[in-house]
This record gives sequence, structure tokens and C-alpha cells, in this order.
Amino acid sequence: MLDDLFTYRLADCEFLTVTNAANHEKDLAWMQTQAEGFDVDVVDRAADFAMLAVQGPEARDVVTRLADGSLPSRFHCCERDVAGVPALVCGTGYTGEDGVELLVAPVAAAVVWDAVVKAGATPAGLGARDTLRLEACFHLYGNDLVEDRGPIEAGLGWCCKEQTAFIGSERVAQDRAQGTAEKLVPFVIDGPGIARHGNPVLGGGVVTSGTFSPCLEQGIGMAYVSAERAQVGTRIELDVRGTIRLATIAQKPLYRKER
Amino acid sequence: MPDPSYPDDLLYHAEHDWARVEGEQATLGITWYAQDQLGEVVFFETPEVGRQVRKDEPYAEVESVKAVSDVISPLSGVVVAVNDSLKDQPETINEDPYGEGWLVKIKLSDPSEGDALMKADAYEATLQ
Repeated sequence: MLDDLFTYRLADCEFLTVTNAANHEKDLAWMQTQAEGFDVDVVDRAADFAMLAVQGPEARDVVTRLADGSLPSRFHCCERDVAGVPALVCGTGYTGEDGVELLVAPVAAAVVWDAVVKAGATPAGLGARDTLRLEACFHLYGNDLVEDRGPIEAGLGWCCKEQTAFIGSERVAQDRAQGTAEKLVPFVIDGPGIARHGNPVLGGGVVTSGTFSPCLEQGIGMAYVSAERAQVGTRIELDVRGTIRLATIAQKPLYRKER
Repeated sequence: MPDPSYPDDLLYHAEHDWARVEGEQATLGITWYAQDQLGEVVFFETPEVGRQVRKDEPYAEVESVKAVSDVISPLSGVVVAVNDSLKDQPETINEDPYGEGWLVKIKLSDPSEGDALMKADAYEATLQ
């Protein structure tokens, strides 16, 4: 996997892809290479947008109060003025909560930020974002997804439609049919302690993400383990800087908000 | 969270640890600056009573959501007491870093080591 990203369909034949910042140049070069021979323009728009994620149970109410029209439903996007600023409003996010992501001109981002905060949003940083996405079992590229792992072992088969013959579909079909040696699983640490990225799993495997879940008040994470012991309920032992911590493989997501 | 403070009755180590020396014993903890840098502490594993600790060397780890950090001992000695209440309420380290959030008490093996530590104003100057 080269990256994990969202692509928004703006019009019939117009798409906007939001890359991981660390992968942007690599992704752009790859797409330009693949576009050769097709009637398609790949344009670098990274400098044209700033993105603000407004997430949480009240996120839509907050943004609705600032917008000149209704907000898009989940996994849809539309153009709206937000706090008087033209924005692409997307019904997406990386927190497991409801909410929207706002793509605006960088020069106007501070105006939108201030308006959203004044309307009731609380600023939150990367640490908060990481606990939320891990509780929801959303993958982080560079940790849980890397170039030498495929989508089937990562549990991303639901976004692969091999019948479309996308690049890599043969390998995906093969992995789906034959199974993979390892699988990515979520886990919860049984007692105290917090596993972190890179901690080994005894008997084979590695923790790819780990943190303390404020909702569950337990150490949680994701790890690649051999497929034979990837079932929910399996006990695994993690080497956390020399201390062995017991953990149990859990169901996705690790935390689901109360509805 | 309390306001920044660096009490005058403590000795300070450059790695953001404090010691309250009382005769041959010292109580150890982390400074307001250290807990502020970490953010909310979510895990502190208490070392065992009887464990040797050495000046300038790690004797425990303190974890926030964001990071794991070694806790450096400002003085050498043997652990004689640990703050067991931190097992269930590690956030006490944030709320009261010089009081209820103390980490361990040690019996000093060389009380003269305290001469190398900083007073409050000297430590605070390192944070500027």
C-alpha cells in the first residue's frame, strides 16, 4: 500500500484527492506516472487548500450555524460558504465520530478556525486525534499501513473491488483467496500498561499502533499477528520495553459511541 | 491543572525532577514543567521497594497519551516507599506534582550528592 486516502468526486469527471502530507510528493508522482496515455490531467492542488476537521456529536450543529446551506450527508461533499468563506464541506473524518471536514483557501483558514471555535468547537491536537482514530480502529499510514503490507492483511478488503481491475487487484484477489500469513488485529491490554508502535508480539508479530484509550481507560492498539492466532479473544503477549504485557485480541471497533 | 510553581524547599535536577531531602531520606517527583510537557499522565508504574536508584539514571517511566518518558533520579539510594495511589490515579502527578503526586521515597546513599542539584531559582532559569 502506497497510501491511505480519500478522494472526493466534485463533478462527473473531476476528483479531489486528499493525500497524507508525508506521502504527497510520492502519491503525486505515482498518479502522474499512471496517468500517462490517458486523457486526464493530474494537477497538484496541495498549496490551494487548508483542511479543518470539525468532529464530534455537536460538530454538525456548530458548522450548520456558520454555513449558508445544509451540510452533506456522510461520505458526500458540497460547496458552501462557511463563516463567509467558500469551502468544500465533506461529510468525512478520522475520529469515529460524526462531523465534517472543511477544505478552504489557506489564507482564509484562520477566519474559519476562529469562527468555528467561537461557535463552540474546542481545538484538539494530534494526540487527541490519535486516541480517537485508534478507538475507532482507523488505520494510520506509516504505522498500520506500509508499502510492504497489502490491504487484505490490514483488514481493508472492504475497500477493494477486484472486478474493477484496479492496479494491484491481482495480488489482492490472490491474498483474499489464499489468505495472508499475518493479519492486523485490534487489542486491549488486560492490565495496566501501554504498548507502543514497534513493540514485538511474542511468538511473532509487531504492534503498529498503541496508546491509552481515554474512553476505555485501558491500553489499546493494533498489531500484525500470524493469521492462525488472529481470532477475537486470543491472548497475546507484548514486549513493552522489556516488560511483558498480556493483551486480548478484540472486535473492531474498540470503542463505539453510544447512540 | 495548577499554576506553574517551583517551591523553594526542593532541590532540582536538570531532567525536570525534584527532591525533598529530609535527613537521610528524600522524596522524589517530577516538576510542574515536566508534567506540563507530558500532558495528562495516564500511567505510572511504581518501582519496587528495595530497588537501588542511582543519581542521573532512570528509575521509572511515566506515560501520557502522547509519550513515554524516563524519570531520572536526582539522587542515589534505595527505594523505601512508593506512592501506590498513583496506580489508580496517575493524574495526581498533574494535579499536585509536589504534594500528593510524589513518586517515591528513597534512603540516601550519599547525601552530599544534593550539593550538585539546583535551587528553585536556578532551575527555573533553565526553563527560560
